[in-house]
Amino acid sequence: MEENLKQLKLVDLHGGCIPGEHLDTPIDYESLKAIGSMMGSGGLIVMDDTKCMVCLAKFYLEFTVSESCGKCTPCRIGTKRMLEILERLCAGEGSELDIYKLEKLAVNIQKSSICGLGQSAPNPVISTMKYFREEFREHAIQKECKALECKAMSKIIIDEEKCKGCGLCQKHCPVRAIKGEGREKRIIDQEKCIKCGTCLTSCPFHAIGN
Amino acid sequence: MENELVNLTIDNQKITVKKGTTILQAAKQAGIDIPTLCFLKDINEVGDCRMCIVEVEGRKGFATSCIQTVEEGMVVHTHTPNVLEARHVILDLIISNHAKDCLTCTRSGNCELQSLAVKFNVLNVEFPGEMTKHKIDDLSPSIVRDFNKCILCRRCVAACKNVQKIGAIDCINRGFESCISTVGDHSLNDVNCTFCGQCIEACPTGALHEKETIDDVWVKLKDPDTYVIVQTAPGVRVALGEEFGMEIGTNVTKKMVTALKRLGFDKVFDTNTGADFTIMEEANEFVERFKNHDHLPMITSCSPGWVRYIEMNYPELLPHLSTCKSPHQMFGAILKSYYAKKEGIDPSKMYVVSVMPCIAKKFEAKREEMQNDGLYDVDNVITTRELSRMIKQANIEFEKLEDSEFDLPMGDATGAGAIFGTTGGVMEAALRTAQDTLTGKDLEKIDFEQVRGGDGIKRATVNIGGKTIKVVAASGLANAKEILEEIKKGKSDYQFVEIMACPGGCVMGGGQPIKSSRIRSRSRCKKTKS
Ligand code: SF4
Ligand code: SF4
Ligand code: SF4
Ligand code: SF4
Ligand code: SF4
Ligand code: SF4
Repeated sequence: MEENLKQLKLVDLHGGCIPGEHLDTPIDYESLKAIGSMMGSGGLIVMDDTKCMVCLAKFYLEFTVSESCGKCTPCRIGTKRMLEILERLCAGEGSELDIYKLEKLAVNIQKSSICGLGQSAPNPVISTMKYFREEFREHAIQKECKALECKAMSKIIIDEEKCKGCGLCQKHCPVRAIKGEGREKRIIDQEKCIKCGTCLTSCPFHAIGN
Repeated sequence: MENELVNLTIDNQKITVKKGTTILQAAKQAGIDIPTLCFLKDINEVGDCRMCIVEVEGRKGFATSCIQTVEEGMVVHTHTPNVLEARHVILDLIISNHAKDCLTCTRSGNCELQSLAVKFNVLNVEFPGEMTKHKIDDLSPSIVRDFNKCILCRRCVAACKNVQKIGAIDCINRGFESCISTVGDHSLNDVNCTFCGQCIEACPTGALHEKETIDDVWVKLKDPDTYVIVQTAPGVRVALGEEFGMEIGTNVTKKMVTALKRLGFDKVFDTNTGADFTIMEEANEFVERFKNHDHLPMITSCSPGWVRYIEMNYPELLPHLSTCKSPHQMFGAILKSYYAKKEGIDPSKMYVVSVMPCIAKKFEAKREEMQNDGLYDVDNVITTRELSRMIKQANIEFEKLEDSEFDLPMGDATGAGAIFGTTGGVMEAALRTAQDTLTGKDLEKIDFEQVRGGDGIKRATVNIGGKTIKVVAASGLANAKEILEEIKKGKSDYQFVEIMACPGGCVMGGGQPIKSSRIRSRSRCKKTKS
C-alpha cells in the first residue's frame, strides 16, 4: 500500500493533510505544525489514491459552513464562497481562475475572521492545495477526477469487446440510460446516465467500467 | 488610571494617546482614516464586518481596530498590501450577497456600502455566488425592511435593543443563513416595534427605510380641485439643509417655506401653531388634574412612538397619559374644521400634509381616533428626508432659494411651540402656560438639572402659584422605561413628565437626514432652541 499512499490525515476537522512523502514525520505537536498540519484530537485517517482530495476539502468546508455562527463577514460569506468553488470543481464546472480565487479566499479568511473557527476553516483547503495542487488542476482544467470520486466527471462506459448483449444492465438502470435491443451490444446514453454505478455490479461479464 | 498615556506608532507616525483608546480612535487622532462599516460609535462596537482590520507587528492575523485598545510600544500598519487585499476581499464578499439596485435605491448617494465600493473601486464582483433571498416587509405604515440589502452589520439591532431597550429585532439563524428578524418572523407591524425609526437612522444601507408616500402628495398637488396644505414641524427646519450639503443644524426655515410654495402647496403653515394649541390644552388639563390629584404624574402624549410604547408595554399606566393630540394632529383637525369654515373650503377637498422628523407619525395619522366625520385630521405624513427628495425631484436649487415667511392661519404663533422639537420643550411651554393661567404672571426660566451626564433625563422643580411642582423630561425609550417603572412601583414623586421616544427628541427622530457613522452628531439639538 505504501507506494500509492497519498496522504495521512489527522482526524481533526481543522488539521491539515500530509502527503505520503512525510510518512516518517513523528506524531508530535511541533513536527506536525512544521509541515502545516496540527495535532487536533490526535486521530489519523490514512487514504490511498481512490480518495479525491478536492472532495475531501469540500467535505471539510461543508462542515465549517454549517458551523459558522455568521457573526463576521469572511467566515459567514467567505467559507460559503469557498464551498461553492469546490462544488464547481467537483462538478467539472470549475476553471483555473477558481483555483486562484480559492487560494485568495483561504488566505484572507484565515487572517481576518474573528474567531478560531473562521481562522482555521481554510486549513484543509490550504494544505490539500499545498500538497495536491495537481489534483485541483486536473479537476479545473482537464475536468478529470483520477480518484473517480467526482461522479460528474467520471464517465461510465460499456466495453464493446466484453459486452455479450445480455441486457441485464439495462434491467437494473434506474433511469433507462442504457440503449440497445435483443443481443445488441449495449451503449450508455451519457446525457441520461446519473452515474449511480448500479450497472457496474450488475454485469456478469464485467464489461462495464469507468 | 484614566489619564495614563500610551505611546505607539501608527503608519510610522509616533503618537501618544490615553490608555483605553482603540486603535481606530488613535489613528483618527493621528489623522489616519481606517474604513469601517458595522462600527457606530457608542452604539455598535463589535468588530463584525472586519473592514477595520489592521496589521500589528508581532501579531499573527489582523487586529480589529474598532475594538482593540492600544498598548505601549504597539506598532500598527493600517494600509499594507495585505491589509488592503483583505479589506477588498471582505467588501467583495459583502457585495456578493447584496441586491445591487443602486439606481432605484432610496439610499443611493448616502449609503456607506456604496461609498466604500466607490472608494475601493469595486468594478466587478470577484466572488459571486448564491444570494440569500428575503421577502420585503412593507406592511407597517412607517417602516420598510428589505433584507436583500442588509449587510448584517447589526447596527439596527444595537439601536433597538441597547439604545431603546425594545429588542423588536435581532439576528436569527447561523452562518450564511443569518438574518435580522422579529419574533416569529412577523412584520414589524405585528410585533413590539414602536416605529421610533432609530434603526433606520443607524442603518448604513437601504435595507431599512421609511414607507415613502410622496407620490400621493404629487398626485394631490396636480389636482386643481384639492386644496393642499402643508405644515412643518420644528425639527425639520434645522435638519433639512443637511440633505443639501449644509452644515449640521443650519436653520433653513425661510428657504424651506419658499421651496414648499414652489412645490405648489396652497398654504404653508408652521406646526408650532398647532403646538400652541396642544400646549394650551395640556396646560389646562394639567391644572385640572393637579387640583384633583387625578392620575399624577401626567405624562405628555405628543410623541407617537412613545404612545405606542406605553400602549404595548404599560397599558395599566395609560390613564397617566395626557389626552391631548400631538400638535400636528390637533392642527390638522383645526384646519379641517375652524379654518375650512373660516376660508369657505370644503374640508373633504382639503388635503393636509405634515412634514415631520418622525416616522411614527405616519402610523399615528392613520389611527382610528385621528379622524372626524370620516376625514383624517392629517392625510399624509412625510419625513424630512422625503421632503428633500421632493425638492430634488422638482429640480429646485435649495441653497439658492430666497426667503419666505410661513402663511398665518389665524394670527401669529406664540413661539412657545418652537422648543417642541427638543426635549423638555413641551413641558416647559405647558408649565409656562399653566403659570399664566393660574397667576397671570410669567414663569421664571426653568433650570433643568441634567441627570446622568445629560443623557436623556432632565429634572426640575418649579414653583407655580405657591405650589412646588416636580417635573422630569426624558428622551429615549430606555429612559422612559426607567421612569415608568418608578411610577408603577409608586416611587415617583413627579407631577408632570415629558417623554419623547427618540434619544435627543424629535430633532434626532427617525425621519431625519441620515448621517454616516463617521459624522453622526447631536449638534442639531442645540439649534432648535435658537
Ligand atoms: S469566524 Fe467565528 S465569529 Fe466569525 S462567523 Fe465564523 S464562527 Fe462566527
Ligand atoms: S451508471 Fe446507473 S444510470 Fe448509468 S447506465 Fe449504469 S445503471 Fe444506468
Ligand atoms: S443599499 Fe447602498 S449599495 Fe445597496 S443598492 Fe442601495 S445604495 Fe446601492
Ligand atoms: S423602529 Fe424603533 S422599536 Fe422599531 S425596530 Fe426600529 S428601533 Fe426598534
Ligand atoms: S438592516 Fe441595516 S443596520 Fe440592520 S444589520 Fe442590516 S444593514 Fe445593518
Ligand atoms: S420623539 Fe419625535 S421623532 Fe421620535 S417618535 Fe416621538 S415624535 Fe417621533
